[in-house]
Amino acid sequence: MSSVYPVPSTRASGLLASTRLLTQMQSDYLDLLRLQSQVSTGRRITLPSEDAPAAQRAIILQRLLEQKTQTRTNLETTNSYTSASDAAIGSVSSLLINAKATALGAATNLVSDSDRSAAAADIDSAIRQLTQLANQKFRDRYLFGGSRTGSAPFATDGSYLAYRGNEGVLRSFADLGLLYESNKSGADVFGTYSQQVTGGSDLNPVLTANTSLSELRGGLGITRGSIAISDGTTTSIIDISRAATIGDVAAMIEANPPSGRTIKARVTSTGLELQLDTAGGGGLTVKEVGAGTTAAQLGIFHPISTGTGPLVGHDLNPRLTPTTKLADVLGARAIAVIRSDGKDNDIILEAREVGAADNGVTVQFVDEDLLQAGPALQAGFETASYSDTPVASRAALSFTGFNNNLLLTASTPGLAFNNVEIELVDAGAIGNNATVNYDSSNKRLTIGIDSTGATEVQAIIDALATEGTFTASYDPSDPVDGGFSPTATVSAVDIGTVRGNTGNSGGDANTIYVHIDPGATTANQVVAALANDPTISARFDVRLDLTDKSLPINAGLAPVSINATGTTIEGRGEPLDLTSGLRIVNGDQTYVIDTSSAQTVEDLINLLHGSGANVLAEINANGTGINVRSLLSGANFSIGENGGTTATQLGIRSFTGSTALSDLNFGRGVETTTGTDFTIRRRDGYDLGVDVSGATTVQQVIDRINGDVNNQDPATQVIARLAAIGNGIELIDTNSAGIATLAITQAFGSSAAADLGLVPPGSTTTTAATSGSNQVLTGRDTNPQEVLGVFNTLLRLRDAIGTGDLGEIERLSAQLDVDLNRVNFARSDLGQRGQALDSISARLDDDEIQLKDSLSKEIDVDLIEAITNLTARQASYEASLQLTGQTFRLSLLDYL
Amino acid sequence: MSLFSTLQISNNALIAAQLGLQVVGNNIANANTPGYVRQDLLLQPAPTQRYGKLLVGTGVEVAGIIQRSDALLQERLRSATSDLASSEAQQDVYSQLETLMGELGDSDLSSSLTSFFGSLNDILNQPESVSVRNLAVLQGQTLATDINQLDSRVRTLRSDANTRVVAIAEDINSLTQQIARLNVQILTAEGGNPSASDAVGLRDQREVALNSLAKLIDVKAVEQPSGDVTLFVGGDYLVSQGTARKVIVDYTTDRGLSIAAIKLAETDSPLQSTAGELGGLVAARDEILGGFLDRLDDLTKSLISGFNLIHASGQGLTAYSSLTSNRVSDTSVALDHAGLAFIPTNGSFQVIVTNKQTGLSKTHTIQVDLNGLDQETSLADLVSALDGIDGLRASLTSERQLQLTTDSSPVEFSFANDTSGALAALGLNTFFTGSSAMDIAVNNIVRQDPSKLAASSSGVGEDTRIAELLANFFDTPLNGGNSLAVQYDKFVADTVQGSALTKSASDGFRTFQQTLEGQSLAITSVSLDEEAVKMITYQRMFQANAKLIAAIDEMLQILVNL
Repeated sequence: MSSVYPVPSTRASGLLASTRLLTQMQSDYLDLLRLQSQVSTGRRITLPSEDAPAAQRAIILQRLLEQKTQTRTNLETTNSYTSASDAAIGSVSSLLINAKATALGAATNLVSDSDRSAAAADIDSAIRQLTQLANQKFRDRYLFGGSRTGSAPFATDGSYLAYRGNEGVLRSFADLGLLYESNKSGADVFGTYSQQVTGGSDLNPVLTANTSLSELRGGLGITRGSIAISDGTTTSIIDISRAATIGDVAAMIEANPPSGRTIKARVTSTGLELQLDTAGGGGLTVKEVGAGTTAAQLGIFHPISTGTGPLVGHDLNPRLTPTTKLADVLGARAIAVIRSDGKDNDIILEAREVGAADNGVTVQFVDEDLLQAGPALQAGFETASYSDTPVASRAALSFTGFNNNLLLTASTPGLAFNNVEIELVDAGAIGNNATVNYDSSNKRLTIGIDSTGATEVQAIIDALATEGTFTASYDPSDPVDGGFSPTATVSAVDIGTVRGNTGNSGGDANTIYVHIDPGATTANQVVAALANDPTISARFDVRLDLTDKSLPINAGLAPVSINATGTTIEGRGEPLDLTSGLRIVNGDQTYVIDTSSAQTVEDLINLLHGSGANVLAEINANGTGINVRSLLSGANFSIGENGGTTATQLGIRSFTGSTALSDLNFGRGVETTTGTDFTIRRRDGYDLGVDVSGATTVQQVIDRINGDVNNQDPATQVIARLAAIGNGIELIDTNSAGIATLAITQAFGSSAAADLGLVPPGSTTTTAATSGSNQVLTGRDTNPQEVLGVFNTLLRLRDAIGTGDLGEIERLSAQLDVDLNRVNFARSDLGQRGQALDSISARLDDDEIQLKDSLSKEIDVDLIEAITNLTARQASYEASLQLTGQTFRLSLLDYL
Repeated sequence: MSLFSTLQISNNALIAAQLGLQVVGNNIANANTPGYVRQDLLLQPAPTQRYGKLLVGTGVEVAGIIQRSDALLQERLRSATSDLASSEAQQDVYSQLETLMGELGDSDLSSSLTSFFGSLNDILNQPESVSVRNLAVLQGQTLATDINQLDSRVRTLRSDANTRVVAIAEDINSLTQQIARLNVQILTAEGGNPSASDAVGLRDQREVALNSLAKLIDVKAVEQPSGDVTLFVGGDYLVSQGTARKVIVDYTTDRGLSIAAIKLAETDSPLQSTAGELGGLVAARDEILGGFLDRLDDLTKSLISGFNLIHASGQGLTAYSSLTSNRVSDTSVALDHAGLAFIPTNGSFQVIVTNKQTGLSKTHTIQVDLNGLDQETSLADLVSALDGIDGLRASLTSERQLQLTTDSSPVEFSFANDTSGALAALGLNTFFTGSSAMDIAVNNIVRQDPSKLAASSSGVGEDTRIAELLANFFDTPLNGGNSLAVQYDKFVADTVQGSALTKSASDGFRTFQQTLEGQSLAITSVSLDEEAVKMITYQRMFQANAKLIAAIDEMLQILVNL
């Protein structure tokens, strides 16, 4: 409603009256129009600004209502899938119950062959019906393919049935922010996977600079907060929120040291290592900022000063990812960083193989000038060499005159005589004699000669030999000196001027010596020299430490420090055997997986998936290793070695020493008897009795054979071990002198040998095959895995009924109960979901009514009020018009 | 002292009465003339004459004809008119803006947003269906078009406001010239002595011109003792005596529009007028509409960057065999300085190379090093990293784009786990293209092949995790802050509240202006009744004086007949 302005108090004029009346009329008319529009549209407001707070609430309510409409569609769709799945599963139970009845009927010896084949045919027909059900499609979606809804999830070749779906869950929003599952995968309903073949082995991938922070701590990741690094005087707060990799964190720490100090941060194979420079000030501490946990998570929380030593962070335990390199698992490569003063000159030496063997190799720089009297080594001509034995320290003495240059070599090899100073002194008029004195505390070798130059070079050699610390020989390196002449004298001019120093020429075993031109040889030249040596480059990868560079173009261009040194550390573990490969048996097929081309975990998984072995390989939930499962129902599945240790190292061998005997033969275990269960006849004719009773694992059985007191003579003993190719226990008798044949005979009343796979099923004895001069008896794999599910049970049941294998029928009958339980569980789950969806739907109805009610309150017009207002406004308008008419009629002129 | 002098007194009185009647007649005639200020005849006793010891009055004298107005009130009225004009201009724009937004209706942006995210929900319902994805793409296009249209309509409003600003400059010039001319005329007519009679019609015209000018700008008029007015705007004078300073229009570019600013031609300094229609229009153009465009842009940016960030980490029902990125300003500088509309951060992304024949995929992690320390990743670095992937070929185009193709036809590629935002920033595997409300659109690749709409997180067509995130994106807090829904609500609320505030401010100004105008009309305009009374008074005065003349005539007759 328009406002009305006050009447001026002083004077009134005709124009004032007409303007006021016009304004009043306009205002009344506007209000009338507004009310009329409210009544006709039913809306209290047409533009939001007419009632801004109500309009804002209304806008949100309108959106909620729109969203609820979509939610209803979602609910209905989810409900339709749930019902369709429920209906499909409905008939599974009855089929399974029928199959169980058939199985029980066939589980006796009294059934005729024709009855048995009729029963088998019944089961076969049940399998076909179930396959059809399992491949059912609804609204273009395969109901039981997990999240692979586009293709039929079950494929059969008659003998076996493979699952092509996954365990994926499809979800849609049943309400705002409420995700609801709309499918049940074939795995949940029918059971489509074998038990996971997983060992306890942690592949323990190595930390690299590129390891993402989210992969650390077994995949828990690092909270990207701040850390406080202090040298006791000043503190630097480092915000790592922009860091993505552990290398970023190291770089950020290096870039933000406490003021005035420098920090070297290195990513080791397990964690971070921080080293504060040796300049003055306190030791390094790393603390949290505020109530953060970043430093602790990074493994470098260290509130107490480290002193001068480095801060070695905890193991950050990166998880296995598809891109983890297989060369980076199961151990770390030995590494050394050779740090020189200043920038652009640090060098990294890293072993090519994982393992501890390359630890402890030291790199030393040797000043070539000190070692020979001849012309100096020029930068660019560096050489490198490796010695696995200690090397003696050496120094050259270049005397005035000819034929007299000497090379002194320490009598004891090693580091002890490095940096020994050698000087020539005046020993007085001693004639052709020399004195030698070694001051071990000052590392100084003093050679005294005749003050008139009468001392011959041989006299010095002899004197040194007598003293014993060093030996001397002629140094032929300088061609100008001519050849050796024992009678060449040493001039008195040389006294006090000719000096020598052993420098870094001596070293312990396992040292790499790089001969350089100090002050001129650059890091790049050292790297080239190391790479040029075939022995070194075969073992080590040498490269620049790029974190030390000042500018990219300057990397490696600064000279190295003569005393810089580094020793390889942190090598551990063993390399993964990728050359042998894996041997997978699934059904009738054996698949040999050649793993030699695999570089990453994903390559390995791809090789397994692409092998056609119908297996599913994936990284386990903890990110420590890979799991392999079979997808082929009705088939025996096992993973074994192909002559090496690949499967064992990856932890995916299905038959290992720790396999429990009770798990063998599909859980039937190993049947033993009191006393000897089977006898091994060795080639020497000795019958070795083996009692399996009490053993719980395969390794214990092997140990019993190998540890038997009568089987300890190396000449005659038979060795039991896990088969080198495939799975099973293998016996080897290398006694070529023996006359008997290695054989096993099962004792009466025991089926242990058969159950362990040492004799074929149904027989009681077996003999070894000859392999070269050895005799080898390879057992069967009696720990095959199988898919735990409806189809596996039924396929096996069909075959067991066909062959009349009563034990198997019994086992599978019990298995059918498990299957039935799974199906019923899935069904009840679906039923429950249906109920929940119904109740959500009911709640949605309530919500919708409430929302509409609220919306109506906000923006809909109250008709009674509006019409009342309209009437009132009409009356006021009428009055205004009347008044206008009357007022304008009044005039003094009428009365004149 | 003589009879003749008395006759002269009567004569003067008759003239005064006639003048009075003329003034009354003029007032009555102009009773309804807008801007007319009523006049009054000022009468005063004529000077006395000494007659012996006596001082005798000599009748009435007409002192002048003056206008009845209150200069101070007029000035206040003009100021209120300026304020009202300003806020009405703003209110006008606001209500047009509200109509454009169409909130509370079914065709607003809010509905487009809901429909789009609803269609993403349908992907969750039927992930296998390409036609459902196509529907989502179409809804995405509708949303993009709606945003484009809202943007372009608001830009049209802005441009209209701007055009009016240009027109106002001409109006100002014509009004100031008129006032300067009237100043001269009034000065000439009144002879520099305004205390006597006013130059009636001229002053009225000048008042009307001043009021018109006040509607346009907040002008201050100061009447000089000589009767001319000097006009000031801010600290600058606009009219002084017979001189009017010309204003000109100067153009600068703001938010893609060449906007006009009014300046004084002589000094090239901007006209300091915050009120009046001009002030209102400038505020509407720069703050209301400009601010609206900025907010719409921010909202659109949040939508594009947030949505693309999720989408870029996902895989559709099919993978790519070739792809070209957005353009960068320099292929060798770090990606966060390469002129991209959205800035990537330190992180990584994965490229999954799939062989369609074997169905096997290989994942490659590409580091995007933007930690601000060294070895920052440039587009050229990305090209060499991607080119190093077996099966992929990456190159730089002459347009400074990244081009990805595969080596052979069974090989395809897709993307995952982009923690750096580089993919979204480079426009690789994105849903939306563009970076503002003006140019938001659905990526052509997705438009032509809706199966490229990424719903899966673990491989081509494998699951619907990404679609779950996308469907819930509207209500998901972004960067720990507000969700897009909340941002949108705030955006609407700010506009609506701004509109409501302007409306109430404008109502207040209107009441004030009308009150002042009422007061002014009360003083300046004609009351017919009052004039009737004056008319009778002058009539009677005339009659009385006529009688006096008759009496003197009789007396003279007597004298003549003596």
